[in-house]
Amino acid sequence: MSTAIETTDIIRSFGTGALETIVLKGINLKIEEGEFVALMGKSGSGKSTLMYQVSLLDTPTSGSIKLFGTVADDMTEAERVVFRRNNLGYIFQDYALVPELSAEENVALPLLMMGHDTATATKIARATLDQLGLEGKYTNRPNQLSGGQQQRVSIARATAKKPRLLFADEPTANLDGASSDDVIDALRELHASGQTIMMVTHEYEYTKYCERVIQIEDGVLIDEREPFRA
Amino acid sequence: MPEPTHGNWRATWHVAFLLARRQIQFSSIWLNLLIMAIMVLTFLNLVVITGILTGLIQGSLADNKSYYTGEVFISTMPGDSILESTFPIMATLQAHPDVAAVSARYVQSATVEANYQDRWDFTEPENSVGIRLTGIDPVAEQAVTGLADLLVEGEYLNENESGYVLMGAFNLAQYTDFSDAFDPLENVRPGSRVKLTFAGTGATTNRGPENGGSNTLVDRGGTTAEFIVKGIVDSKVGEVSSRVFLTQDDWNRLVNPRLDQATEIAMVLNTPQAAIPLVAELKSYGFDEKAQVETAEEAIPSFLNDLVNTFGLLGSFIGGVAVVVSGITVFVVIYINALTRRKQIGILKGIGVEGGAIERAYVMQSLFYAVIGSSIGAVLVFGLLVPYFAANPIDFPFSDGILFVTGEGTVWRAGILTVVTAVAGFVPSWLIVRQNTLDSILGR
Repeated sequence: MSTAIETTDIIRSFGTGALETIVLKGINLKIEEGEFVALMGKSGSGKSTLMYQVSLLDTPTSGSIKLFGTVADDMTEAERVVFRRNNLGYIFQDYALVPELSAEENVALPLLMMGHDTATATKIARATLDQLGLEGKYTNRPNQLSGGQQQRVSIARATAKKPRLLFADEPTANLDGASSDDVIDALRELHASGQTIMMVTHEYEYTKYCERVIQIEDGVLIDEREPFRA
Repeated sequence: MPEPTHGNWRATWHVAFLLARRQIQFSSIWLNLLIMAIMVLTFLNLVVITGILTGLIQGSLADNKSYYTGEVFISTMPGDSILESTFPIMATLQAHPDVAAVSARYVQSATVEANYQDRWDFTEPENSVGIRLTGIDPVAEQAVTGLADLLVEGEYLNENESGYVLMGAFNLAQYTDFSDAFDPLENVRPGSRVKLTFAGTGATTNRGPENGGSNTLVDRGGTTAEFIVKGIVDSKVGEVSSRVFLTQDDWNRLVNPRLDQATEIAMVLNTPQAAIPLVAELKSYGFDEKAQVETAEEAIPSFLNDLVNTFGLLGSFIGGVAVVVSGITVFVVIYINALTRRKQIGILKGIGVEGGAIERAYVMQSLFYAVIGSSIGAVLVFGLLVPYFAANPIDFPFSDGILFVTGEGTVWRAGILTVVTAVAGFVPSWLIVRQNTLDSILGR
């Protein structure tokens, strides 16, 4: 098992001079491949900011990030786009689906970008949607799906390309209880199949399938906490 | 191992096409119609305004060719008053297989006076105008320019009659649009008597050296003769409508007996394509040493050439403004579109869709609007407006204005519109795509 994420003294600040706000204050983090890790913290603690750094959506002010042994510090934006496409999957809090595309087109989009032909991409997309219980919803557009279904499409989009690392940014934040359980179950199943997952959440009970719960407070990692056990 | 910085081009285009297609398909029908209407109007502005401006001139050029120069025109050198090689040129043309008909014209400045019978008070100004008196062979001229077809009153000249003239309508008060510029002849109708005063030689028996005559001409210093107006010809070609025509025999009898001293020669050809080779051939015989040998297009009067250039510039300017306005419109529409989708663009980049694919999607949308707009515009132009203006030409003083649109010109203008629209679609999407991915996602 290799190291999926390794950060060294990550600092992220915004503004300059007297207006400078340091959100992350020297984060050292290590997540192994195959782990399901929850990142918890209060609002404003820096948990989302940390996830943006390690998922290469943002660039730290200083410090180093290594993903699967690849140093990401000097990557150009174009290289980051390609790295994200080939290695990382994202589940956004608000689903972030393309409203004009059907469910299967949303899922197929990264596959097409990776060079799959339409038939293959559609086949993979449908199979992934099936696994998430969305049979018969292939041609539905996002506004024709419930919130829970949209989030499952988002999960399908993130996982259809078999990313090495899956990021989930408060995936249950906009969902009711039943839908949230469905999403967490889906993540559990993905992890069971070997998927490395880093999930940002502020709801402790949804860490029940995680192996580690990393806590962040005021931009600093504090002691890890035991996952929720019913 | 470093990863490739770009996906393959096929995948990029594939995704771009999918995004563009779906965005057009599911965007507001009213927005689509509005943008396409703008493109259609811009296309019409580009093609029709320029086409009408050009059409005014083209109508004039076509009339000039039909009613004055023919397809090849031979005229005197600047400063000369006669074509010294009239006979050899005429002999060559009359024997040439490409020449369908040829007419030599004999032209001299003159004055024509009317209403002199009623002018009892000689302190009053006479009713006269300066004209270009033109001797023609009525049959040959009819074959070349169809002069008889321009009759608005009276009858055409008969080569066997003497003492008759055809009046150009510009000289007559009831026809001319230029009465502010000079005093035209009043109450002149077929049957009216007019006096022509010209610098005649009066050597009625002298037929020129080539016809066995002598070179000795007697300049009488001005001759006045009375003619009866047989008909009135009207055309928007000034060189026709401002002249007074008489038969070649009357010309020889009263003005100049020498047939070898024509002023201009017009001809029509069996095929219009023969004009350029014929001009080259005539020049190879050396006829251009003492004459201007030109195709109809080369013989365009300089004021028409100036008008062509001026109207062309005007059309290009108006068209340019239309293109800029259209470009800005598309830019604004696409920019607003991209701006409202900024978060979505950030997410697309986040999940690995390259900026190039997103930009191309917006360019494709713009191209879609441009192509549809241009196509609808072209159908309107060629299917409706060109036939309409052909049937209902715009009545201008110097021409019957048509809508002059060529396929090549239309394709060029559509191409310009498409390129400008594509740029107008690319720039805003590029501006949004180049923004920080996370800032786009978070809307900050």
